[in-house]
Amino acid sequence: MNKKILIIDDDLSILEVMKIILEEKDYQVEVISNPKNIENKISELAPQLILLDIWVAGLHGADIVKLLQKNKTTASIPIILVSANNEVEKISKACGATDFIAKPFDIDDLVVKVQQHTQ
Amino acid sequence: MTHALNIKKTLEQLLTFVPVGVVMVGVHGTVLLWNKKAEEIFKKKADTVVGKPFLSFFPRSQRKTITSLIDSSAKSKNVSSCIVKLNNRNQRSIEITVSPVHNNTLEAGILLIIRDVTDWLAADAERETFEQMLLESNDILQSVIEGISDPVFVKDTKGNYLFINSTAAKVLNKKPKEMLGKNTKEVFDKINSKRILETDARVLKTKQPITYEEHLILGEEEIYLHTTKGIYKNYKGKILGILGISRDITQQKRQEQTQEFLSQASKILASSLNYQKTLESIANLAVPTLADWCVIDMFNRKGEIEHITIAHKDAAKVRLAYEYQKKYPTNTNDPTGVAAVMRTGKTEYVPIITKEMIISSIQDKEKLKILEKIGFTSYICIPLVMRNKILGAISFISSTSGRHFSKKDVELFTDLTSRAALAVDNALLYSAERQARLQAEKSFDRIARLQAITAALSKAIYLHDMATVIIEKGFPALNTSAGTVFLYNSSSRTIEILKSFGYSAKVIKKWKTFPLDRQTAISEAIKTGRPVFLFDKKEIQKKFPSIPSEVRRHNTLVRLPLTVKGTVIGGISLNFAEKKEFTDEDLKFLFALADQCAQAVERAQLYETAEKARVKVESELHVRLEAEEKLQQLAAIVESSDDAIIGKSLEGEIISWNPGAEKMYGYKANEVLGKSIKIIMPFHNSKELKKILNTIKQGKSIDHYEAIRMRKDKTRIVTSVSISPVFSPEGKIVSAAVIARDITEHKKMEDTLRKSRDQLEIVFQGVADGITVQDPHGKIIYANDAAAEQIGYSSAEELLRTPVRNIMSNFEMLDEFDQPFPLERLPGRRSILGEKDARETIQFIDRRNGEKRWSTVSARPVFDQKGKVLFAINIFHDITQRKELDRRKDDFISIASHELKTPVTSVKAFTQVLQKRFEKEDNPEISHYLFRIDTQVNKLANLISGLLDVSKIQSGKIEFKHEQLNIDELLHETIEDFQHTTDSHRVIIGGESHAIIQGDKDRLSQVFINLLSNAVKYSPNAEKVVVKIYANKSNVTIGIQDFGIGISSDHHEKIFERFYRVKGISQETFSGLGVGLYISSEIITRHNGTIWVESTHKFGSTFYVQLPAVYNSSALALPH
Repeated sequence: MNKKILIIDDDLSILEVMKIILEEKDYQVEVISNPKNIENKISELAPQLILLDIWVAGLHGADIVKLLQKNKTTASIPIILVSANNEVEKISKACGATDFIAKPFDIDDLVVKVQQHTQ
Repeated sequence: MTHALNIKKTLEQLLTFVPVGVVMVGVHGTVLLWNKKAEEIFKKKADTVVGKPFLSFFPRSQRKTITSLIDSSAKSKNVSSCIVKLNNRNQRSIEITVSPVHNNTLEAGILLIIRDVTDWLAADAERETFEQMLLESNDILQSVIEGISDPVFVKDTKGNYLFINSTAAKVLNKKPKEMLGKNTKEVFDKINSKRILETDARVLKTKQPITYEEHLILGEEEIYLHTTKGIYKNYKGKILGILGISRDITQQKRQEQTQEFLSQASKILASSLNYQKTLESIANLAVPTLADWCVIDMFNRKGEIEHITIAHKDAAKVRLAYEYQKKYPTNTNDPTGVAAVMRTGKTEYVPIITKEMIISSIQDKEKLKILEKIGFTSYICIPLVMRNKILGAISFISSTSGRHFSKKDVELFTDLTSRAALAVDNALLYSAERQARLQAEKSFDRIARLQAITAALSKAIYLHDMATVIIEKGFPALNTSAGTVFLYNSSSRTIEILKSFGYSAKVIKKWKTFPLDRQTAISEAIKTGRPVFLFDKKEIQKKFPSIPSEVRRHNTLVRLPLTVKGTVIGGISLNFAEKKEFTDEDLKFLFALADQCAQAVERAQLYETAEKARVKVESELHVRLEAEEKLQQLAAIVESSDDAIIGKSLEGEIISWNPGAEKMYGYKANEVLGKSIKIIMPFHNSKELKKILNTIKQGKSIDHYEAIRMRKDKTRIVTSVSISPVFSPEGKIVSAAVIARDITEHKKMEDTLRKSRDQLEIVFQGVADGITVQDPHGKIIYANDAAAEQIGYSSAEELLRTPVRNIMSNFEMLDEFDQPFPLERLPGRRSILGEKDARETIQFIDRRNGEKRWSTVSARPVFDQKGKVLFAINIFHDITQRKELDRRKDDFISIASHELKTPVTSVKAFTQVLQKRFEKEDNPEISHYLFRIDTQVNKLANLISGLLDVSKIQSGKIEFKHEQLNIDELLHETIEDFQHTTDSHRVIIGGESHAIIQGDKDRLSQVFINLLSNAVKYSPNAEKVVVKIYANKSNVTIGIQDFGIGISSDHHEKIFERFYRVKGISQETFSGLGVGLYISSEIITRHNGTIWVESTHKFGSTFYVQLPAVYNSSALALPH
């Protein structure tokens, strides 16, 4: 069974390319571009790892992280914040995300981080 | 016939071969038939026996048996048999069965069936022996088991007793017969049988033997058994029941419990010297383990028997017992029970108390009812005896448990009681010792107090102070609950309260002073000069019915006269709530206190009298001296004053004229004295003079009245005049005093100033910036309307009326980085301290409405000739709109660069995906193109990051880490990384700093990369960049030198500004936004460092970065 990665980003092009990269590495990739009802969607999908953009259609990623950590079914899923914000490292530490990736990223770095958190 | 023959033949064959011997004997006793088996049994062939007498084949001894068998069979016509022995060697036994033959078809005779039963008989015999043996062994086993001194029992699986030895029965206080064949449930009561059956069930279930301690309550007795139970089976393995063997450990157990109890009791007894508490603990320990009730009685001081404690597990019952005791107190003369035990010192032991016993001994019905309710069953009462003295008794009573105390219990309780007695004795001894010590301490305390009082009284020179000492220091020694110090006035025959405590204000007010003849205890003491002691509330009330109820409710009153040399001068009273028993010590103390008090009162009275006399004399003298002094002072003032001081009569005649007046008006005193004041009034305004004089005549003053007066030389002066009436010592108005000041110059100045101020005012009010002027104390002495508006006031007047502190409290001030703006940094404040050009950008948040406003505030001081600050002028320039624009611009840059990065991310990622794919296909051309795209995308990303950084720096949102960094390592790493990105230039590094700096690694690295990139970018024709690092004690300096186009000196500072780009004369332009150096400069500044450039146009540039070193191991490394 391939490991399931969920990518949350409102930029469809980024979703697409990340999906390509990770599927090539034999991951099962699910994407969400609309944060509406996001908690339920994540609970249903039950991914092994979430890649989350800091700003998703007006919702702050840090708030989503906190929301997921409160929920029993999603609290244990590792979350990597992916953002173009220069302060992504600081933000990810502050909100308790597992790791971060700064945009634009090298795809090798992306793959390494995903592998690291799905082992 | 043939048929018959056939049958016969068949029969013959049958007879021949049946497995039993068949013999036919004729009526004469001869053998007729003898089959094959008979031949075998008798070992004789048929042909040798037929016709011979059958009996002849048997020994003589057996023949009779056979004859009688045959006879009886013939008679009875029944089948019968016997066993006989053959006369052969083997001594075989045969069984002969006789069947009479009735059939006529055969010859008359008898048929004998013969069986060899020798083997059977042998087997039988063996069985019998075995049975016998079995019986015997069972007997042995029984006797063995009977002989075992431990209880043994056997039960079937249903719990019925199959066997029980007599020891078992005895332990259970039963006979074996009572138990055999009966079920456990019938033998034991419900609780016990449940326990037993539970373990039985466990054994049957687990098939494992168990060993456990069994506690059985058999009526009044408790027994403890150490029991092992196991199953027993038959030879087929079927479980038949339970086999048990126990050991009676009741004795051992009791001993253990007793030991445990005694050891605990000893601990308790040794743990406290409070005997009452100790006894309570003992009683509580005994209940309910040893007894249901434990009651401890002792003699109280009056010799009555009193319950020290009653213990029972149920608190309600304890209450009941106390009530009972209250209702029916123990009579010391009771013939039995506690009273008797405590009288005689002999233990009372009633092992079994029956209902009848109680009924017969108690007459009172109610009492009986209660006792019946409690239901005593057994009772032991043991005296507490110590050193031949009976201290009390401990009663152990059993009731609901139904236990009957045994002799062993008596022993145990006696032991316990004697230990308790010892503890009580110890406690009493201790308490006696302690009381003696307390007594000693108390008297020591008294002496110390008395000394302290004497010392304090010697310092108290006023009556009131003296009384305070007595009350605060003297009375508490006796635990007085209220007390008073009285003074006796012999002339008015009244008693006065000097000071008291413990009384309500109302009583003190009412009894402040009262006649000696009032019937009170203190009156009596003062009248008689003898102390009064009263020890009974009733007596007090009877004797002194009119004294306040607050006094009457005391049980002890002491009234002592204060006597000096035989004269009573007052008294002290002490009230005590309890019936006080005074010791000799107490009385000594009391009288000493009264004595001290009397002396102090006398001393104080003498002192006060003397003092009053002295004060009177002094004050009279003082008044006179003061008056004289004042006069002299006044004269001096009048003489030396610059103001004109003039005396005039009520008619306007000048009666005095000081030098000030001479100077001001030009007339000498002798020129004007006696003349009318009109001489200095230019308009001879009699109305004015009249009005002034009338006001004075009414006793009123005229203050600061501005008047024009005329000097001797006829010039006019403006004066400010104050006129007041002068009173004679009798209070009559006799003249007027005039004080005048020349304000002509002042007036002129004021006019000029007003004019110029009005002009300035117009200008200031027209200015859009807020302007305020502060005096050196910070007070706002001028503000224009713009300032008022900016500060949130409707007008300058309103602002000026408001104290600065109140104005400031309306605002929260923040600096450009949203940090609180400290008051001492306000430009106005700094100007007042002399700073010549103080300037700040401040955000004011109005707490009243939340309005935010940005201002640049600049302030300048105005100095006087001596260089002292006169004013500070503040100018508030509102930049709210500009700030808002800046903010929007920053927001825009921030959002824009974020938005730009998103597509860049996609482009980069897709490019890399393609790179990966083409890598496999080995198409170098496409790979190269893709590499170029990736490089350009990275450049784009860097540009965007630069923009983001600028916007962060601008909004103050950039944050730095403060780590300790090895600057040499950092520089080498950065250069190594950078070298990978360029093929055109070689970066050469020289020198080492060995320094540690504090800062943000990534940000500093960013600066070096920026400087290196610039070096490469602006030296397109060069091949190298040289980096030098060196340090001194406090700083590290890094120089990055290129060999390119250089920068002319007029750009050297501006290149560090935001968006500044150098345009060469040759119009050669270079790509870039003009933010790199700005960011670098900001980063270095925030590291408390400096950045600068040294360059000559066309000869290359060297950019320097200098950072403070935290630690520097070698300040000697120098550049090449």
